[in-house]
Amino acid sequence: MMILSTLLALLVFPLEGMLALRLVMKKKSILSLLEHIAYGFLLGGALSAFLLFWAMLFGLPLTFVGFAIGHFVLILLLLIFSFMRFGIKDIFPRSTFLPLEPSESRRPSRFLSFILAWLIVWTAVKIVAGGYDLFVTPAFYNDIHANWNMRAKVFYTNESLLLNRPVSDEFFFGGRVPSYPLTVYFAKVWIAQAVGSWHEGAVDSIHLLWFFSLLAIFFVALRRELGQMWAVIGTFTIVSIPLLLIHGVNAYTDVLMAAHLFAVLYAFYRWMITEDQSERSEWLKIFAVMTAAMLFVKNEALLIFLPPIALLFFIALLPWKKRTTGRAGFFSTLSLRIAAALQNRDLWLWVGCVSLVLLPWTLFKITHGLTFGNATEVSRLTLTPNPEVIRAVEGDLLYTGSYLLFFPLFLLLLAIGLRPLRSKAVTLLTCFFLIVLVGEFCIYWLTPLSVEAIQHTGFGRGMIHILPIGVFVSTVILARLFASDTAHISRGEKKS
Amino acid sequence: MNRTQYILGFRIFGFFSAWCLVLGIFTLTSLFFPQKTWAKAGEIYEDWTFRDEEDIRAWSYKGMEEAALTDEGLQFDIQANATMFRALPEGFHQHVDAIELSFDAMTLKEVALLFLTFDDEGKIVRRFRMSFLDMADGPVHQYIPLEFYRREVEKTEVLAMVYEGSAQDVTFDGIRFIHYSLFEKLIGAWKSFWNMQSFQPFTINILHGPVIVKDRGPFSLREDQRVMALSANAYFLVGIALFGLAMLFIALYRVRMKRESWENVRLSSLRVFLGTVFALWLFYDLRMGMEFLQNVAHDHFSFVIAEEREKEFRDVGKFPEFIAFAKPYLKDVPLYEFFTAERWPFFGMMRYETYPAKPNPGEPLADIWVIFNRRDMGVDTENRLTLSGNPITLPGTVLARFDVSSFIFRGQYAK
Repeated sequence: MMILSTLLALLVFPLEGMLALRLVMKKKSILSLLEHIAYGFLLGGALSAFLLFWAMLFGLPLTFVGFAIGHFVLILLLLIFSFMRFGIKDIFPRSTFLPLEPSESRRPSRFLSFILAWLIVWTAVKIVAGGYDLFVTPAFYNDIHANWNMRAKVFYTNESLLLNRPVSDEFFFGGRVPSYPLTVYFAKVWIAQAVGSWHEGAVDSIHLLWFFSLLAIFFVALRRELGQMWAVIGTFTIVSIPLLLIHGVNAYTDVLMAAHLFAVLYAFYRWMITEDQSERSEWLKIFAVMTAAMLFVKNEALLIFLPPIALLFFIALLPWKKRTTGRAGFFSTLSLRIAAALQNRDLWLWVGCVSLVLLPWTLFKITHGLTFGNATEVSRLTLTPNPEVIRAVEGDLLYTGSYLLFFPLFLLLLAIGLRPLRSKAVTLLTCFFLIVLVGEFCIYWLTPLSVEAIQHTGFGRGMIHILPIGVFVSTVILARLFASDTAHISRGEKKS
Repeated sequence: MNRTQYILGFRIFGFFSAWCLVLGIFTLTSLFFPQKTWAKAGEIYEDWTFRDEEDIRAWSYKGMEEAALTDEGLQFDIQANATMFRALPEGFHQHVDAIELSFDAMTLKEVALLFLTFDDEGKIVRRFRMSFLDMADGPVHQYIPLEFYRREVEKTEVLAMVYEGSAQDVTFDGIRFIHYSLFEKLIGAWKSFWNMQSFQPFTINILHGPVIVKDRGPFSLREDQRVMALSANAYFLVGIALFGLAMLFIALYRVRMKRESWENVRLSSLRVFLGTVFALWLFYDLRMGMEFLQNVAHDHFSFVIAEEREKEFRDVGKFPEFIAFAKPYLKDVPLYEFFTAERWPFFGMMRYETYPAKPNPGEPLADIWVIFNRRDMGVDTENRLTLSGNPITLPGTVLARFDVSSFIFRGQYAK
């Protein structure tokens, strides 16, 4: 009964997410069915948490009945709008389960097929073992019992947001890090309410599904870009990164953040490389919706990921066709390009969508005395370089088993393969990766957060967020290096 | 069977064999080189055990008045503290890989091994100290792999044994300096590469991964030693760099001497290079994947399917069982006192598991006392809860007992 209740509770998220995605897209879906489910699962959790949070501020009780009414109304409204827009037959997308492979992609030889099959089995064994461990062992790692599960349990037990308590109270707005957005907590509260008690295995089960969502989005993205063989290799690679696997099968939320971030950046990538205007605008909508959803997952999304995404999106919008000579010419052309980008409808659609979450949530935080930052408030951070951080980060990235040999090999691949690829889209994704990597390093190097890098607590977890982007870029470069021609690397992308 | 099928079959066989070989070597090394036999490995480079008068004269003494030679070694009394000095053997820094020492000093506060460097005037300019504090259970046999301390002992000239405290019949058997051959060092490195790290509280932040320790001695890799040891990544990265350079030179040779086209050579060289790196990645993934699976298996056998009260979970031991045991008594209690040997992580875990009942972090207020693993706490004949023998509550009742040092008590705090 508990398993059935958990499954039913979990089913609500992909349903809401799929319907919401369906609503913003056109009749003919550009996403495969697996993508709809995975994107929907991510979007559903964030969307329902955001809307239910506001509904609860306006009086919806934080009880099973309150949550059930909230989810029911949301699904009903989405169904009605979808019905009005597409009719009964097309409420759910009619897509193939997986996207088509690039026509140029080659089938692997039998020997290679055998190796790929072996990699799939080995990967599956690790995930199944990790999933088993997640279900049958108690909360062990600090932030699970101090924050992620604790705050959710506080909401569940008190059936209240506890905003009436003083800010100094240890359980104000759930406690620990009350400034965190509510996606993770509300998902757990809903599962516990559906099950009828706080059951560790049931409330943690969603973490495994978030991990699956990341793998599904990642696999499908690589399959669409490079074909089945590279999709298997890429997905194997991402699961083979030990720290990411550990996070995938534990009740931490960095894999969820990584999944959201990858969904955002892949949609951005597709928006950049797609030539068909209709398809391009669909990817833009997904990009905008997922960026907005990402903001309600973890604080890092707002402070660390949104600024570089906004910057790179703006750069991608700049028209780069004409070349000018001379400094004066350069600046006048640049100002013209900026003016052109500012007039671009895509920019304002994205800004508008992101603002729908960004503005009310920021306003709420300011009016309720909630801080900005991760566990440490941004306004309290002072700038004092700590040289020990350099050594700690070097050791973390190069000389531990956390990421195998990913970081040095990634830099090597960039050095030998990025330039010949001649892809603006891949370059911008790489820029994002490097901006975040350097940015996070600077945060730990220059602020009192240095303790977290020296003691190897915060920095490594931050890397989890960007690893899927790094592995995606690496796989694209590798595929290019192993391909005899470049045609199938980025379908439809213009070579600059 | 045509030729293509034959080659394919051969390749599949080769690939599968390679995996089996790796797994097999790992298993066999574990079977044939269990830890107990390691002590016999290595050659004694110099033996400083006490067997005759000459061995006694080889040392200088301070704070030690008399000593007797026994079958167990040198036996002596210590009033306050004492030190024994001896110049390190010639070639120590080049040839000695480990040190073994034995002593029996149950009532001493501390025994320490010192490595000293002197200036021309005989003053100590540098010292490195290794302290041994855990001596209460009888004779101590210490094995010290020098690989972890090479930098610290560099250029030291004299070794000293320092005894702190007062005791009678202290026995010092002596010191053995051990040298390992290259083959033994390779076996040690291979063993250390496959030495798995258990799930620790920091595993969610960092996995140290394999380390290379060229020592076959009888020691189990402690967490602090794992941090000090050289990561296998260093070897891998150097190997990749050298292989890459070799590929580059071969490619240049093919272009210059054999007049092959740069594009073809570049492509084929890159494929060989990246294919080899991918094979290395697979091997490394096998190592880390096995560590992960071994830890999951350990959780399964020691916790999930273990008998009740026998369940042990990672480094918190019986604590999850204790929580399950204590929960029914805390159902309708808003606040309780919680005593445990270490605050972290037990206090936080307890707070989460028993919420809405909360452990009190401050001065005692509640009547329910939850005691976990506190040997210094008990209940006296007047049914009062005691801390280090002193009563801290009024007479009360033991509600339930988990084991000798873990129980739940109800009683009012005696201010």
